[in-house]
Amino acid sequence: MSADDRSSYAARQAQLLDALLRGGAPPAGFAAAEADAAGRSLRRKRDRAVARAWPALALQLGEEYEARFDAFARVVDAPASGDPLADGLAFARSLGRDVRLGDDARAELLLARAAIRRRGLFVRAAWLRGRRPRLLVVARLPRAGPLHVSVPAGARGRDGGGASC
Amino acid sequence: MNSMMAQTTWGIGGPQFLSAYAAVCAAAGLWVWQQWRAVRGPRREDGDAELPDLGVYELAMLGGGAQLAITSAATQLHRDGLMKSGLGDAGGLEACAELDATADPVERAVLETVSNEPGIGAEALHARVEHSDALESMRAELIDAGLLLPDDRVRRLKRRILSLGALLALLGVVRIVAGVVAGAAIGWLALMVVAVVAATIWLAGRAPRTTAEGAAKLARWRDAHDDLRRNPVGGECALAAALFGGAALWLAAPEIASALGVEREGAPSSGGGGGGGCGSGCGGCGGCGG
Amino acid sequence: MNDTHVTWQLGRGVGWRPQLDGAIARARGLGFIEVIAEAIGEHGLPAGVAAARQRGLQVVPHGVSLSLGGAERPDRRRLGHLASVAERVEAPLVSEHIAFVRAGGRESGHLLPVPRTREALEILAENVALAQEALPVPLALEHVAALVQWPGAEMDEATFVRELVERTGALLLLDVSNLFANAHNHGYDARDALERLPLERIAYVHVGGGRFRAGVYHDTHADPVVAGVLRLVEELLALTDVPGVLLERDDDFPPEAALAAELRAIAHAARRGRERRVRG
Repeated sequence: MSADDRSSYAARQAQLLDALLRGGAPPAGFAAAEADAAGRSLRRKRDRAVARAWPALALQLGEEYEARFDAFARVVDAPASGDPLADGLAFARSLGRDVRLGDDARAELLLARAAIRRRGLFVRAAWLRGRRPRLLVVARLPRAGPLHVSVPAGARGRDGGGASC
Repeated sequence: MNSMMAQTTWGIGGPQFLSAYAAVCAAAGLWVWQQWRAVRGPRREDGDAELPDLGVYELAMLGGGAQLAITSAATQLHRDGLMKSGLGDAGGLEACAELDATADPVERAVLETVSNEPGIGAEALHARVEHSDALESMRAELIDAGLLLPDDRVRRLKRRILSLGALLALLGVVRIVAGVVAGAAIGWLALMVVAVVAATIWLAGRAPRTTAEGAAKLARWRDAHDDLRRNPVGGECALAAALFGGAALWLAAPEIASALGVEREGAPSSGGGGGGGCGSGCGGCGGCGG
Repeated sequence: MNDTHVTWQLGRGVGWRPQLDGAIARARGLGFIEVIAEAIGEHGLPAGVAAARQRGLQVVPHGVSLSLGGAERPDRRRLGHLASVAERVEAPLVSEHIAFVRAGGRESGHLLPVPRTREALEILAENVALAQEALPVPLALEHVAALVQWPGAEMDEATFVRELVERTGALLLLDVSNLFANAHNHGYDARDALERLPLERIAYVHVGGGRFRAGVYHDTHADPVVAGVLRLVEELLALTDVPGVLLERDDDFPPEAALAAELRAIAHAARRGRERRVRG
């Protein structure tokens, strides 16, 4: 098979893939409904993986999650690594000021940032003032896994403290 | 600033006081260790191949007290489609069916409380059920079996640790004040006092819940179900919560974890896919297998 | 052409996933597991996979990222990894897909179908041959479930698959659920397609769960196996014997008992088919 044949084949595959990922109109000859279903299924697979890695964020967005993620996924490709944690971080950032994150989602965001950070020092703290007020400190030391300490603030926090890796 | 040759406070030189203070702290540490061991009792080795005969909520009680037993029971009820949770920070718990007569008393206590107060939050649920008959009688049985420590013994141990620590810290602080007044160097002593305070708080916070035997039995269950630690799936969610804490529920059934007030940071932040299997809630598919 | 012959018996299998580790360790009557090659690290094996090896289960590495149906030649590093996993688990064979997963430098995140044309067949056959050279064990190829079809097909799926395995000497990993999905969604008879597939070249069989949404069957691997798929398992075994049947479950993992029941249901369907064949 000549290089020319391969490159024309490559172009057609890239065209189809682009239409599926963006949710745009498929190349000529494809059934629009089929392409739409296939594109949805790709984005849905991605949204489920992100929801697994980001349960608190997905839970907070509730029924809006799927639509919001779909809108994000049409514009932003998944990271080359396919890592849903990194994908979800990009998604969380894309929400911007639109969504005020709750305590658990904020905790999740800090943990993910620490986990994704591969080198160097990462230390962040957040006051979580919701149902269980607490100070959460998340850190990643060089050449170690992420760890966190949460200090309950107020009488309610009973099983608060504890560090884990 | 005064010179390094300050007057000796109380007629004892700095270095001498430091070594004496360190020796007293070490002796106190040994005494606490001995007390600790006495409270927990001997660790009997049983060579049984069988796992100790303990129920899921008994294991939860041993591992995390009433709070974890309630979390574990609520997980089971949710899994069985008897209870559901609303969404978001305001989401409370709601019952959607009744238990039959043979149901576990802990599950019954949780579900009845939720039925009586639809929309109840995690803290209120814990407060209501913590001293229910079901949990009190389970606690008493575990104490009788020599697995769980009675509250008063734990409290006494905690009190001893705290008062001893306070005494040592006080002695150090008084000496520091005297030293400052006299213009002596107090750096090392201050460090030691901080260490004493930290150790005291740490130890008091970690006062044991179980006897040595209770801990050993729990450890055998944890070993036997190590696969549930990271993957609390396959209908074993209540057991996973009982053995490894509620945090794993964030990965398996986030809506119930949120409703039960389990903190998100306890669960590993894993990029690895797949989970699920603990979620159901009302109107869920109960046993969709087959 | 390097014609491989099936020399293995695998029996009943489950796709190994970390979440199924405990269920697989306790399951009875399993003969093999399949591991996603990309989920295995550079060295060593997950404890559950090593334990399965110890218990005498056979392990088949299953690749999902070679993109054999892509325009690019298969990546050496990915091939090397698949080969290394095969050696580490002492696999009797490995499997991959008749699909592409990347194009124009972008990843699809899922298996996408190739056009059923002579041209695509040429490129696929070349890619498969390159993969076979780099692999220490035979390669089986799995046809995928496709929601979208390329225009200008020059042959049906069964013919395309037959041509490919005959040209390359590769084996067939028959996925009954994918066949069911394509037949249902694109309106052809699955039983008829089954008869025209190269059944004599089956290395083993995949069965997975799925669900119907708005009349379209989705091969989710997150739902129970539907009745239509079980009937197709029976039809297959009525036509030929197969070396092994494996259940794939990737998400919404069921309780252990439900998983065991699914395995039993598949085994029953297989037995009914086998009995029909023996009776003639």
